[in-house]
Amino acid sequence: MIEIDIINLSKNYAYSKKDENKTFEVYNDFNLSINKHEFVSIVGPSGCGKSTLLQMIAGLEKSYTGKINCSTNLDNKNLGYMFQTPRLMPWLTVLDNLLICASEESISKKSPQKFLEKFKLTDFSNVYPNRLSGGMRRKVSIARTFINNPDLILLDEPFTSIDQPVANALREDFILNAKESKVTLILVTHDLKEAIMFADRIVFLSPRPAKIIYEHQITLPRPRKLEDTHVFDEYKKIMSKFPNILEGKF
Amino acid sequence: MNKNTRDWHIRVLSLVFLILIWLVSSYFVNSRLFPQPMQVFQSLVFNIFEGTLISDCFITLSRALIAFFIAMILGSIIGISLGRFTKWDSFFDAWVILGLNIPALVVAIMCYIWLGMNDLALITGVVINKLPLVIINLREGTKAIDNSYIQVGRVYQLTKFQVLQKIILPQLYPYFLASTRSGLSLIWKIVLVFELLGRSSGVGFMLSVSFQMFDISAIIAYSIAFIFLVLLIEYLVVAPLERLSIRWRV
Repeated sequence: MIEIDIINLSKNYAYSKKDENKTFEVYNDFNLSINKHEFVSIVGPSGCGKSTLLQMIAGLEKSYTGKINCSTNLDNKNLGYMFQTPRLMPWLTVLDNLLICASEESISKKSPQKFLEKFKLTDFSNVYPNRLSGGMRRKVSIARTFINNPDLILLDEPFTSIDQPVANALREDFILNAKESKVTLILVTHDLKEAIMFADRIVFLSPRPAKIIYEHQITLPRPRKLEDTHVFDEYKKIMSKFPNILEGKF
Repeated sequence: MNKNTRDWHIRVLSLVFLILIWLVSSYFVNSRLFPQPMQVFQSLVFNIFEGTLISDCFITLSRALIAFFIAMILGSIIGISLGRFTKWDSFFDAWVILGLNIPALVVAIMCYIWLGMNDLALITGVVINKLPLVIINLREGTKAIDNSYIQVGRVYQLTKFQVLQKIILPQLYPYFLASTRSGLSLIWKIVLVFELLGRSSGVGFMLSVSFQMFDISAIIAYSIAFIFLVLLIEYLVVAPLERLSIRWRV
């Protein structure tokens, strides 16, 4: 069953706000289907429009042509979104950061408190984010992503700019929760090993205007770890077959 | 213990030193036009218990507070609107700069001529003087709002009221506070000028009467009493509000 169907998507950006007539194409007639409960990693060179794609799916970016059909009703707090930075409101405590995003149902089930307990953050519930380490902020951000038991999760390179051991632990935590929750997940990344660790399918994009240049099914057993041999073997297999794939060249 | 509390004895010593300089200078000048601290103190006590100092202070304070609240509310609405809508900002920018540079005295004279020698003219004139400063502060604050937090609000389907209350206003608090601070210190000085020019009550009027009688002790006594009132507002209202609104930064 298809969860997201992107049909004939075209998107242009203006070079500057002052002159909106001079534009460049980010997508031109782009198509992609994602199945229910599928984990898809989207890999492409920097600036090819990966983050823009997530923003269009989430409804944050609305100026495009084409269609994005989503079987999940995203108007009902059914979406989880992890941005490149945690984006916790610095003026709200950890608990308030979760409560503000939680649905009434989640609040009545005490989900914010349960997630804080799950991520061992209960002692920090009344602390402001600027008192937390980078890793802890990401944990709060993960808790926020799952707070409403979403059907669809969008991840925009959320584990970059933190040290590797912490990032690996967070990735493992994240995948465990995502599998438990039976979500559909789209991860945008330029890190192929991370893409392999998360995905059932990897979609490789070209430089803009982005086109799908290759799709790769991952059938490795779960749970996967970044340092696993079979993850590394899969990485080597793809890279030896398409050495320039990360630059968007097939 | 914060720096201000730790250095209280230095502050007291500084004040004592200032009074000492005053005492010594008045001793050497030895003129009725340069009263000694004790004479000013006697005038203060006399005007409090025998005169109208307390009622004059409250009349001036109430005028200043009414003008302050009107200027803050109007200035905030206009400033936020100009910050949000760039075309409005371009249109009204020259008006704001013009308003910023009109001398307070000119506004006072015009208001008294157009509206009559009454409190309405005084409050209107003070508001006109203060308004551009609030508008500029809030306009810049609105331009500096971090939209990435608003995107979080949109992903998690926050209502418009929640976005305003939990995301936009906390980012504007420092600008409100800056306007409050500069507003209070500016407004009470302008109110005195307006009272001196065209009212028959308040501290400004009494300063005018004392000036005509060359009663320098009364002028200083009235000034000290009113400065004390403004400092009370600063320490009992503004400073606690500031601590409350930026407690997350500590």
